[in-house]
Amino acid sequence: MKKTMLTLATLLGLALLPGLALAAGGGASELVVVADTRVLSGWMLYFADLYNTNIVLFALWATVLTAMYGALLGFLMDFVMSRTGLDLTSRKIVEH
Amino acid sequence: MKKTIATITTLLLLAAFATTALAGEVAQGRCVSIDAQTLVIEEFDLVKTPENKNYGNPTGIESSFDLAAAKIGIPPEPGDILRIAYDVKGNAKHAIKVMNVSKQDLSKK
Repeated sequence: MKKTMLTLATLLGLALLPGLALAAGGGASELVVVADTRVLSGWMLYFADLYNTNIVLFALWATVLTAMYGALLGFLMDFVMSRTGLDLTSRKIVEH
Repeated sequence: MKKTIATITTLLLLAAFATTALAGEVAQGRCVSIDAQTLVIEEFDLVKTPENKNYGNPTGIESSFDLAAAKIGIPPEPGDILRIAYDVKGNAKHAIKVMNVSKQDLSKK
């Protein structure tokens, strides 16, 4: 228990050290990006607008689309591999 | 089967949320004045000329935005080019996000 406390205190101390340095400045201001939807239409407008107004739903879309893209690539590779004549559906090893 | 139901549910939820999301608009222009509550800009158009090839031309239209719930990036000063995502409620424009374009330019030079 004492060891844990000591480790935590040391880590906290280390985390505070940079603030003591002479070069330490104030916190940087947050970077905010606004997508220019004035020049967009259709799906691009939808996603850009989502990025501006509802970042949580935008993140959800990104996750779902990434998963769908992964699945698509997987099925495509399955198809390509089956066309080459390799049977990847069986785990039987013929040498044994 | 469960996987299919989960996928369909997720897509339906996304579709349901989608209708609520398409409400924002965007304006870009030069900051005229700013205080804690209100931001006034002179709006720019979308026409890019050799003199104003990055941001468009001033239209002379001044728009005021309520900053109460806005997420503001690099603090704007009068003269800065700003891009604002906002919602219109009644006659008031409520800023959602304020980007300081001139101090945070992402376009290729």
